[in-house]
Amino acid sequence: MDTLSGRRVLIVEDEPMVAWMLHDMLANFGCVVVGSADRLEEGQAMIQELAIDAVALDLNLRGQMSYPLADMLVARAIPFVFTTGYPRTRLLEAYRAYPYLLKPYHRSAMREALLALFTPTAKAA
Amino acid sequence: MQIQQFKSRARKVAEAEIEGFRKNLGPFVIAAESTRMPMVFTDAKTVGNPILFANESLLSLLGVGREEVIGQNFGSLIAGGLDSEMRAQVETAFSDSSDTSSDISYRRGDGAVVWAATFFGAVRNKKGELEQHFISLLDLTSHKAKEERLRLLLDELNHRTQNTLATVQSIAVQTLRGAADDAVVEVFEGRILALSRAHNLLGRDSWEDVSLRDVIGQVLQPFGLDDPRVDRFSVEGEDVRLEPKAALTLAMVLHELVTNAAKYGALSSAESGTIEIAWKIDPGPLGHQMRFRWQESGGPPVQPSGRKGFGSRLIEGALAHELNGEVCLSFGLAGLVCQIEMPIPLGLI
Repeated sequence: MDTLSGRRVLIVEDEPMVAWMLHDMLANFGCVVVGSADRLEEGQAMIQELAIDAVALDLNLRGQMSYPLADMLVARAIPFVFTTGYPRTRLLEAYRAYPYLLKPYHRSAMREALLALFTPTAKAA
Repeated sequence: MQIQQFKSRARKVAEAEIEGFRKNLGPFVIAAESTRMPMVFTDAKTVGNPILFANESLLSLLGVGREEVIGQNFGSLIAGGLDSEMRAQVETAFSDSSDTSSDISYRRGDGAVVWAATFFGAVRNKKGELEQHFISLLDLTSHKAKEERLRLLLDELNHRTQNTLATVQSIAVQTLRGAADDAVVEVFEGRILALSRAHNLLGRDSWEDVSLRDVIGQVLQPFGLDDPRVDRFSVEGEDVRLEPKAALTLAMVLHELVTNAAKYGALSSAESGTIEIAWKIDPGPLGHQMRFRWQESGGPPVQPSGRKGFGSRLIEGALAHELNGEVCLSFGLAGLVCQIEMPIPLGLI
C-alpha cells in the first residue's frame, strides 16, 4: 500500500491558487487535506485542534514568517516541509536543515518530500 | 610593572617620531590633520606596525581619543578575532612592497563596527628603505548597510518571482486539465519550472553573472546529472561566466534539449544512450566566442519533425536573436547534435 494514502495533511499557504494546486496534488496522492490555512493564527488554531500527520508549510504568510508554526510542529513531533519562494539560505539557521521545497515545484518533488517525511529511517540512512 | 614601562617607552619613541614628523613635514602634517579623510601613519620598522600619527577624522570615525591609538599596533583597531581573514589581509598589505587596498572592518570605541575601504601606501626614505606606511580610510559603513538592504530587496523580489511562477503553474495546470493532453500540461509545467530554476540561480548570485557549469547543473540535475547511479552525461569545458540574459536563454535551451532527449533521444531508452556536453572558448579581439556542443549518442535514430515546435523555435530563435549566437541542429543516426556559437563579453572571462 502507498504510504501516502490516507495521510492527513494540512496546507499552510497564503496564495490561494497555489493552495488549490497543492490541494489537488495531495488528493491525487491519496492524502486527506484536513485544512488550508493562509494566516498564522489560523494555522496555530488548526495545528492545535486537528489530527495532522504532516504539514506543507509556506514560510511567508502575508508578510509574517511561519516559524511559530514550525516551532509548534517540532514540539508536537509533526513532520513538515517548508514550501517557499525564498532560498534555503534565508531560512532561520535552526530550520535550514529541515525538509524544504523551492516554489514552484513539480508534483513529483512534493510526493518525494512527503514520502521522506513518513520514512524517517530511510532519511537518516 | 615591566609591561607598563615597556609601553611607555614605546609611547615615548612614538611621540618623538611624531615630533620629528611635525618638524620635517610641517605643512603636510597640518594638511593631514585638517583633511576629512581619515589617515594613519604607522612605523614600518617596528614589529606590529605601531601607529605614529592619526588625524582628527580617523579619531572621530573610530570614536577614540588620540592617546588611545598612538603607539598601539595598527592591528588593534581591527574588528574580529585574532586569526580573522581580515587580519591576514592587513598583514599582507604591510608586507607587500606595492600599494594595496582592501575593505576592512574596524572596532569603534563604543563597540560598533565600521567598514572602510583601506588604502596602504609605502613610505620610503632616500635609500629606498621602508620607513612607514601611510594608510587612508574611506568609510563604507552606510555603503555596506545599503548593500545589505539591496540584498534583502533582491531576496524579496526573487521570492515574489518564484511565487508568481508558482501561481502561473497553478493557473496552467488547472486551466488545461481536462482540456489538453496530460503530456501537454507536463511539458508546459516543465518549462515553467526550468524558467524558475534559472531565475533562482540568478537570484542567488544577485542577478550578476553566473557560471555555465551551474546553469548546466541546475537544468540537468533532475535528469540524473550528478547521480552516481546515472552515468549518461559527460560535461567538459573550462567554466565561464554568463550574463543573466545568456544564462536564462541557455537554461531554457538546455531544458528543451534534455526533455527532448528524454522523450525521443539518448535518454529515451532505459539502458543505453549518453549525452556529451563540451565547450571551448576562443579568444577574440572584441570578445570571446564560445563553441558549445551537445551531442547525443546511443539513442534511437532521430529525424526532425515537420512542424516547428516551441522547442526548436526556442533553440534556434532565442539564441540567434537574443544572444547574437548561431545554432546548428543536426539529426543523425547516432543522435541529435546541437552546436551553439555565441559571444561571451570580454569582462566575464
